[in-house]
Amino acid sequence: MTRKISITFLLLIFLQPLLVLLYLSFSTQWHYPSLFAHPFTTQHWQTLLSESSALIKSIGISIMISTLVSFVATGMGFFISRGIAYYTKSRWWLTSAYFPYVIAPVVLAVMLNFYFLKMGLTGTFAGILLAQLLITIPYSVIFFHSFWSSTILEREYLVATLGGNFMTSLRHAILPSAKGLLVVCYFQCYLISWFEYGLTQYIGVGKVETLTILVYRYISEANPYLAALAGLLLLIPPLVLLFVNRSFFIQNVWKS
Amino acid sequence: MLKNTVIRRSLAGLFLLLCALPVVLAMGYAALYSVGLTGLQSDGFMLQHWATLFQGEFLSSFLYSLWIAGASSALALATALAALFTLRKELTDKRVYRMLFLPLTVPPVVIGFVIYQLFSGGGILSRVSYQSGLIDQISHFPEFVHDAYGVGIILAHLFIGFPFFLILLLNLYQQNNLDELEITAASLGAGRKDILLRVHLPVLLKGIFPVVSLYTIFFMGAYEIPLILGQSSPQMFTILILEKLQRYSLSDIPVAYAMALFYAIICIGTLSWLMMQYKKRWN
Repeated sequence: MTRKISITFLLLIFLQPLLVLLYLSFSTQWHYPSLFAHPFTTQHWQTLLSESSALIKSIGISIMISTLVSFVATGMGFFISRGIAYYTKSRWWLTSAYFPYVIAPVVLAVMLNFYFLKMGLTGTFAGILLAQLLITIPYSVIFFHSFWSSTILEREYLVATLGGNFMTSLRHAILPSAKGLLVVCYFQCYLISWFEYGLTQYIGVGKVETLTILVYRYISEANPYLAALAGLLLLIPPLVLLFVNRSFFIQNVWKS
Repeated sequence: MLKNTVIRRSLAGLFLLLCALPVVLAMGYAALYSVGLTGLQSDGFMLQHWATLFQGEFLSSFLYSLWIAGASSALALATALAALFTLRKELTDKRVYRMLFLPLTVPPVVIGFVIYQLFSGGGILSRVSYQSGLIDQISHFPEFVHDAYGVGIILAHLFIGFPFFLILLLNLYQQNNLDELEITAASLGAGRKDILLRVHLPVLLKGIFPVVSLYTIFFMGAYEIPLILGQSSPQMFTILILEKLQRYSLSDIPVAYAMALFYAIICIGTLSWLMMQYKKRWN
């Protein structure tokens, strides 16, 4: 009985963010010390439907950035990791892939901003894409490194012995085995990009308003209702992914 | 053969360009700026900014960040271990296990916001305390956010770290067949306390140590959560770096770069040390 209560308590704690965000997104004029004795409204949700809504724009920007970043990072990480796994012997190659990933993104952004300024990328969509790729590509390289085992190499040799080139080997030997991992890596990169705030804010100087930027803007404008709504929208893709497959959330790189 | 060499070189080049070069360039620029060899107030080589780094503001901010990161990791690990030993059977239930992934779907900026809404003076807990007669003024509610000990930040980190550590511990428990080891130890006469201290804990702590170390670094470099829940002085040093860079005082910029570089060196140093320690496992 005590154990069941403990599990229920844990579940309640885990659900708290969702419940608090839902509650606030339907609230207005929530003055202290009221808990329930304030008006409830759907007006914040209605702003989502208006054409000029900042939320809609920022959802679009976030989806675009995360989709592009995860697509490029997964593709490049996949092939670069093959090079690292097959053609290098020192483990420092792979260790160095961890470096951009362990340094706090916002600190990396601070140190790299000079180059972004010189290239005219600060405050631009392309700048944010590039900045996020600098974190997600190393992640993807680390993710795929263990995939390139001797079994895969032997399959590649087999295709080559039978007269196939690299593309044939890719289509018939590599991709069928890597399909699942590619999907997981794509969504993990998607989530890294979707959750990113510090680096995006610093390189984007607030001009490219992703959903995380908008949440913080609403918080600093002391508008908890819209912040809650934007926060809820931020939760949708990860919750959907969790529903589909929980492996999208386990960071395999730290398990190795 | 030639084709292979070209592929090898281009892949290595791509790796260097996209993974290693940005870090080298970033740290190089920060190093040059911090010793006065570049930047708006560049005045020739000097170590003045490094010499003053470990005094006053940065030192207190660094120690504060260490406290927050250490306390967050220790608390998250302790609660995860406690949950593992008390609720392990329930946690292996598929539905309950899936529930552990829920907190991982919440971005740090949202966690910060929710903790603020729950624990601040005007937050939900304060309102509940007022309505239930526990306090009669908003000022009587204890400070959990923007406080000296970073309670709010630690709670937010706990929310992220606890389920992640618990998932890893559950996997480690299974991978290392700790149930069977427990039976063997018991048949050799070990008591519950011995099994816990000499079998379970050493295996689990050894397995989770690298992840906890990395999480401690992550917590030290946290940005969004301390931005929402942190106090104004001392601050977590990511916040301090940003504040120094965005202030109008140009003399603060080299100090900010020195701080950023120092933090990057700590991260890289710790990671390299961990990699060397776990060389055998790596191979």
